[in-house]
Amino acid sequence: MRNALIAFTLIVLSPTLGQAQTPACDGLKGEHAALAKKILQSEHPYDCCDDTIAACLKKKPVCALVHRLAENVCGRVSRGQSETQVRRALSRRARSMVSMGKKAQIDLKDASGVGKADAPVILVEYACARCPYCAKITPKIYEAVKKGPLAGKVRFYFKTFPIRGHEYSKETGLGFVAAHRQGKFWEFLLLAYERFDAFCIKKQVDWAEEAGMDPARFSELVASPDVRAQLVESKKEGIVNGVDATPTFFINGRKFVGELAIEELIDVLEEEFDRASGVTHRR
Amino acid sequence: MSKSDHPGWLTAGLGTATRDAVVMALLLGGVGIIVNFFHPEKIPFVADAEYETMVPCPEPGGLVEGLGSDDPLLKSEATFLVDARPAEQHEQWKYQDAMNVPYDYLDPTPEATLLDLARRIARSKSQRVVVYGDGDEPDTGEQLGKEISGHGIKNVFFIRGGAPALRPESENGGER
Repeated sequence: MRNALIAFTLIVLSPTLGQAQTPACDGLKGEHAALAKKILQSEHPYDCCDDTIAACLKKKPVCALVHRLAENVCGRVSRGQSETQVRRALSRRARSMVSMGKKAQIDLKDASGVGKADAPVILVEYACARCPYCAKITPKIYEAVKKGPLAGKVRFYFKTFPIRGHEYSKETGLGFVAAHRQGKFWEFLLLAYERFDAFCIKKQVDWAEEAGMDPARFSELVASPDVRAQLVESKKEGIVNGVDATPTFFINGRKFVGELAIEELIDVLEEEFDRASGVTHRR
Repeated sequence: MSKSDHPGWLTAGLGTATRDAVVMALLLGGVGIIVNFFHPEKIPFVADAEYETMVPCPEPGGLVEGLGSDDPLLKSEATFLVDARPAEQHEQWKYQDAMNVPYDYLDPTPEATLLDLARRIARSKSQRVVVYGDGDEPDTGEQLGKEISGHGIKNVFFIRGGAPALRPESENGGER
């Protein structure tokens, strides 16, 4: 009788235990479910558990990273990404998060930051004021850090890296430094990025005034050799740290080489926060 | 020249070429549709979601290779030397007959300067370009080398350690 009960329990519960146990994975059906299963059964997490992601998901308590990676894989599959794309994204994420290389030396003394001052995760972005991609992603990160899912977890710094191929990258880069010196960096950056397509160099001073700066002082700073020198130092530091395109992100000193999408960035920053806060397993 | 002045073979040739082009376009289009039909990740004919190109912006430049300051290629007659340091420093000291093309981290090198450089390289019949800069980290020589290489000039090298590594100790204030 006891054996029958055990057998019955196993039969009833085994399909449930066999499921992926993450919301994104449980919601998959048909081909998507099969593809996610195939990937989860062959890829390994880069930390926390030595088995495949699928096998690690069955171990209790589940590693926070394993759950996060499974969600990531299933989310990608549900968005229609191919097997190659998903595997490549996992590999690049692993390279970013467990980089063994030397940490970047970043001087944050003269950089504008937002977010909790003693947050355990430091995110640094090197970006060009005239880079369309930066104009899209930077305000999203700002929002996430200021009042979104990264609030209290991440301190976000911006370093100007003018791309020489972009028209007016120098002038707008000087404008960013001038705004920083007047304590209106984020106001000016958000305005300049919001109106990215409407930019013309003559408007820069008007925008500075709109962002709350003294226009005369702004123009003076933009023309100052000292501001230029600061911009050059920022660029040189970026080059030394291996920046060759914008935006380039560093998470606690490690270059992020994963997918440059806001969802992915938020996910890896939350992962880093878990790690820094000692959260290894889900309850 | 009026239409009737065209030789017959030319108008006939144009007509045939146009017809062939249309036939080829239709055939290749058909092949594309068939391949797409059997492809596991079909490309939709009409975009089903807003498509946003989100491509990081690269710093323009090509590939360069580093050379030691004692590399024999430096002494070769087939080497064209470029000094990436500011004009004042170039005036004070230069390696052999290097041409000065000052590198700036913010402003791209003027097109006219790059064109002049390309002409001089072509005239000299050099087989390679060797750039030296301030030898700092980052090194202006390496950066200018990348810029030159990105403009289509092949075989561009830079000197590791830049001008301080090339300059004889007696002229270097012992900084070498």
